[in-house]
Amino acid sequence: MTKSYKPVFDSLFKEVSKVIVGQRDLIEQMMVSILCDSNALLEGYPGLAKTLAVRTLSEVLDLKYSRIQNTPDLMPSDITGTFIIEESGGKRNFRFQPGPIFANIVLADEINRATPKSQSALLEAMQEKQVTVGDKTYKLDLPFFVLATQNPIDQEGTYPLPEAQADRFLIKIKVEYPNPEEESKIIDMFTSKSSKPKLKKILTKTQLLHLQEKTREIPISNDLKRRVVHLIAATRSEKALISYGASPRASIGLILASKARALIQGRNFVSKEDIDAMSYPVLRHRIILNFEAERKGMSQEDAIKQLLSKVK
Amino acid sequence: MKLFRNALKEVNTLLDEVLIFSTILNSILVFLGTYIILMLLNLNPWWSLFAALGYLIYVLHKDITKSKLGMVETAYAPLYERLSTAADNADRDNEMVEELKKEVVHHLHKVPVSSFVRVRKVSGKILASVLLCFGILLVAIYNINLGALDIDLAQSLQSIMATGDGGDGAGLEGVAGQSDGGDIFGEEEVAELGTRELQMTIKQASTEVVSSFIDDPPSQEFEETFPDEVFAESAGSFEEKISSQHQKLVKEYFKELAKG
Repeated sequence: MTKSYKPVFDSLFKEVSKVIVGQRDLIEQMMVSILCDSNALLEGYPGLAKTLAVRTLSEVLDLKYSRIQNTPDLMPSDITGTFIIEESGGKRNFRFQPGPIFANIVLADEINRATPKSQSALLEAMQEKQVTVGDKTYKLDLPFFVLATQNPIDQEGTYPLPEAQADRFLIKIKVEYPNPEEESKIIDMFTSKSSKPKLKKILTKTQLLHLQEKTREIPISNDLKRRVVHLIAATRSEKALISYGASPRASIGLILASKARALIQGRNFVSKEDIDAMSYPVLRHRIILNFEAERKGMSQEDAIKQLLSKVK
Repeated sequence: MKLFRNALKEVNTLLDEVLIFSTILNSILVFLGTYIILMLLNLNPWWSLFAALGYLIYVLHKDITKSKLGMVETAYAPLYERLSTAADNADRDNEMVEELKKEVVHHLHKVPVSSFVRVRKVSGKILASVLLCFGILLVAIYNINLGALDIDLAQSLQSIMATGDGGDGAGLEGVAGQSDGGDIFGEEEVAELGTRELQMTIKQASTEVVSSFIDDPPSQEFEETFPDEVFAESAGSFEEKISSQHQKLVKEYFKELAKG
């Protein structure tokens, strides 16, 4: 039964690869986030097809897509929507005009360029799947995901996400540069005469919601649960490397993300390999290295690798 | 799922039996090994029973607490992580878990018992036990004792060093025990028997009596070895023939003598 899901994901990746060359990890981790009904933060240099990847995925999944281009003058109402005056039959009424948040996949582009006020407008939507405007609360259409992007360079005039807000993103995906062969393919694809490829819809909303349910059903052994707990605890106790560790939300996120990865890989159980692979995207934005580790030139990935080798 | 629970129970029982067998075999080896060592050191060999019992209790405790499922997963790769996950989630009831349980039961049928019993290793241990038994018999029969080879190494080394110096003209006798310019007879205190009690026991090689070895005593012919001068001519009895008058006279004489 589970093995029947693997071809679904394989065909999904194949379809996305018609537009996105390489970046298998990016697509897989975005799918992990979607299967976990959570949000993802994409970090990478400009021009690495972050936005295109999100848009392509929404097409393949047959989901309503909207994009919020964050700028310092973006207002919360620009995200959530606002009441507008409408005239009908000589009467003026306030009508709620939904903002771009009312979609299934919301791409919050360059989220660190928005002011903290606007950033926090996303919080309720990300966590509660609802928005409150005035005295009214509106439920968002399910499935709902926020996929936010940010650039690691050009930090002037930006508002880095506070830790509490970064913690709401299940995973932080690092988008890497393509290798020379992939880059050559990208050049061919986007400089030739060929028209934009027509993408097939692989999954429907209902099927996606079913897969989200199946993700949570995947069993995990007690040993691996213990490994996750010890790993997260180690981020708090390893003071030689980390000054600020991960919260229990990270434990939940890591197990959930591992379950989603297992489903994508066509397994009906979580493996140690899933835990190890998902530790990096789940933990990298949840730990803060101390001065000593930074002085040694260590990255979050190095610290996580070290912790993984220590934890049994 | 009853089938899955039964399969788990069977796996646990089987592996318990295998581990107990292996531990008992190892304990026998420990017993025999310690027994022969104690015999060679001329100590009471029955102390080896404690060593074997200690080993048995320690290893059995360790084996009982060992994860049997982990052993199966190690022995059969397709069950790796599957079996423990299914066992840990045996009480959960959903499509994914049920499917995993079915897979595990299917794979468990393919796991051979021989994966846990290494015939060559077990045969080796049995052979080692037999050899140790023979060793014990040999040590007992020939009364081999490492205590007899007890050499005072420090003293020997000292003697050799002294020989190497060659200062006091000590030759090979130095090795024989002359250490401080004494004579060639060695340490005086060794030669003295003293008044201390020495208890010696002759070690019994065997207490068995084999009736088939008991024969009638051989008939023995004795030769006469008396010299010719010594002989008995005739046998006779001697009777005193003293007259009663003389007897009375002597009696009176001794009476008077006693009075005087």
